[in-house]
Parts: sequence; C-alpha cells; structure tokens
Amino acid sequence: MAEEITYYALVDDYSSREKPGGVVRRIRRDQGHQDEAFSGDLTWKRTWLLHSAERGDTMNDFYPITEDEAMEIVDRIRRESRERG
Amino acid sequence: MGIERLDEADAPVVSRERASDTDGDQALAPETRDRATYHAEYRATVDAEYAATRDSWDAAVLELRSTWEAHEARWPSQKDSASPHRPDTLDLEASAEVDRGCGRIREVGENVITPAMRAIEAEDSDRHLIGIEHRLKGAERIKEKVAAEIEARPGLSADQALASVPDGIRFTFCYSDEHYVGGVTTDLERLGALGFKMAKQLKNSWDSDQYKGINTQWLEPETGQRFEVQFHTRASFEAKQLSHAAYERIRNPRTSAAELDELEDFQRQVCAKIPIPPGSPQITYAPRKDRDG
Repeated sequence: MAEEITYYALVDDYSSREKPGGVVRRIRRDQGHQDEAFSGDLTWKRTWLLHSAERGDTMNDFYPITEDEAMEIVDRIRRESRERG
Repeated sequence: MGIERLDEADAPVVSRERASDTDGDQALAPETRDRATYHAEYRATVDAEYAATRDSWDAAVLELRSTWEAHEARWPSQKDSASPHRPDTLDLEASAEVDRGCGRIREVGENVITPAMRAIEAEDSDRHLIGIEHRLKGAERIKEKVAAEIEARPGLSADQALASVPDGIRFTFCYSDEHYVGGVTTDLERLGALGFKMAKQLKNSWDSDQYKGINTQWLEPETGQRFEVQFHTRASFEAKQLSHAAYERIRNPRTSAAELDELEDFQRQVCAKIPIPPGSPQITYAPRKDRDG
C-alpha cells in the first residue's frame, strides 16, 4: 500500500469549523499508521488526541478535510506564530 | 487486567416483574387472559434473549482477555515509557496554573457537583453511578492532557486548555440493557432540570467500532466548571476497562505504527462483542427550552 494521508481539522471551544484551531493527519503505510499534529514549533509531532476522540473524548472535534484545506491551516498557524514572535 | 464487577442490581429486572404479572392470570377474563399469556410469553422471550446476551458477553470477555495476553506477549511491555505527554513538558508557570486549577476543580466537584449527581442517582434504583471513587482526575493526568492539547493547538494557553478539559470531574451511569434508552433519556432531563448546561452536543458512540457508549460534558452554572457524564451498559463499561491498557499504549508516542494497527484491531474486536441496546444509537438531547422554542 502506498502512503495514504487523511487530514483532520481540529475544532475546540476556542475555534470553529470555519477557523479550526489545529490540524492533525493520519498517515497509513504498510507498516501501520501514525497520527501527527502540526504543533506550535511548526513541525509535525505525534499526537493521541484523534484516538482519544475516537474513544469518546469530547474535548475536540475532528473533521476530515482536503490536503489543500489542511495546508491553509498550516499556513495560518505559521503566520500567527510569526505575529506572536 | 482487572475489570470492575458490577453487583446484582445491574441484572435485568424483567424476571422480578414477570412473577407478579403471571400470578393474577386466573382471575382475568378470557380475552385479558390471552393478552396476559402473550405478555408472559413475550417477557420469557425477552428474559431468554437478555440472558443469552449476558452469557455471550461474559464468554467474549474471557476470549478477549486471552487475545490481550497474546498481544502483550507479542509486543513486550513498555513500562519504561508509560506517560505519553509527561507533565513536566509544561513549563513551571503552566504547571503551577494547572495545579491551582485542579484545586478549584476539586472544590466545586466535591461541594457542588458530586452531591447533585448523588441526588440524581437516588431518583432511580434501576441504575447507579459506577467508579465514583475515580471521579476526580489526577493532576498529573490533567497535565498530560493540557500538554497534549497545547502541542496540537498552537497559541492556546495552559489556562485555556485546562478550562476546556471536560473530564477533570467525571461520572458514569451504568444501566441494564433494557433500561438503557429510557434511563439515559430521563437522566439527561434530570441533569438539565438541576440547572446544568450541556456544554457540547452529546457524543453518541454506539455506532463507533472503537468505543461504545455516550459521553456528555456539562457546565455547573455558578462556577462554569465543566464535568463529564458517561452513560454505559455493563458490557460497554467493562469493554472500556478491558481495552484501557490498549488505549494507554495507543497514547504512548513510542508505540510503533505496526502495533498501533493491532491495538486498534483489538479495540474493534472488543466493541464488536458489546450488545447494543435497541434504540441507543438514536439517543440525542436538546435542552427543554430549545425544544419548547
């Protein structure tokens, strides 16, 4: 199986479907899968939040999005990070 | 792996009712007697079905425990790396903020929310709060959650992350399968009637292949303190306990991608064995004022 990536918008109390608070990707390969969030230090890091939501946790909602939509969130996070200094 | 056993109060009460229903058959008119006979037969069928369901779940638990033991043998223990987001990844200021927040959670939880939940529990003997001794999440676990949230939510402060943690105080109602739908619906109304506000749409996971049950988060109106109420059957609660070790491994960043797939498969196997109370996937909740316009 070739690498298959599904992106999810992370929506919490401080964000919305229109302006998600973060982005998570699930990468599936022959060897298994792994979830990563685009983090505050502007790199992708392992996260368990998507699994947590799949197990009933109500803190965040995750919505599947396209790669383009995911990259828009990534760009916004980069921009906001620069603005925060 | 230990599973918290429930007491006999969780057994279906159909059998207790059945005895009194059939006692009066002799005095009934023929038409009524036919109806009574039908009811008795129906109840006997229901009894048998629930007994079979109980038995099949209990048998499944034994099989699933063996499956988990095989998994542990195949993937040796990771005791050295149990914590997925170590609390010390928070800086000192954030850690102190979370500690103060935990103090507030404890105070509101013990003085306001727990007594209210006990009062709701006392209104119906068909179900009970289970695992109430674990209602307060430990500070270290809350810090793990805050740390994970901050990492995935750039720009979020520790204070904001802590305020949105839904399960710093958590309760679980456990119902028999046949009382599940009616019991949950009534208890949701009771929570609303006490003034608690549902903070987020109810999360109904009865259709999920990774978890079965209903999770809700509520706000205590005076303090704005969030708390969680879960609604389970005996099997869905036991399943959650049974797969908890798998979930801990899923949270561990050192767990390999290959093992992750197997852990998900295990959770799927556990969920597939849980009897689904009829109508449970359709349970929703809207506060009375929203329904009444």
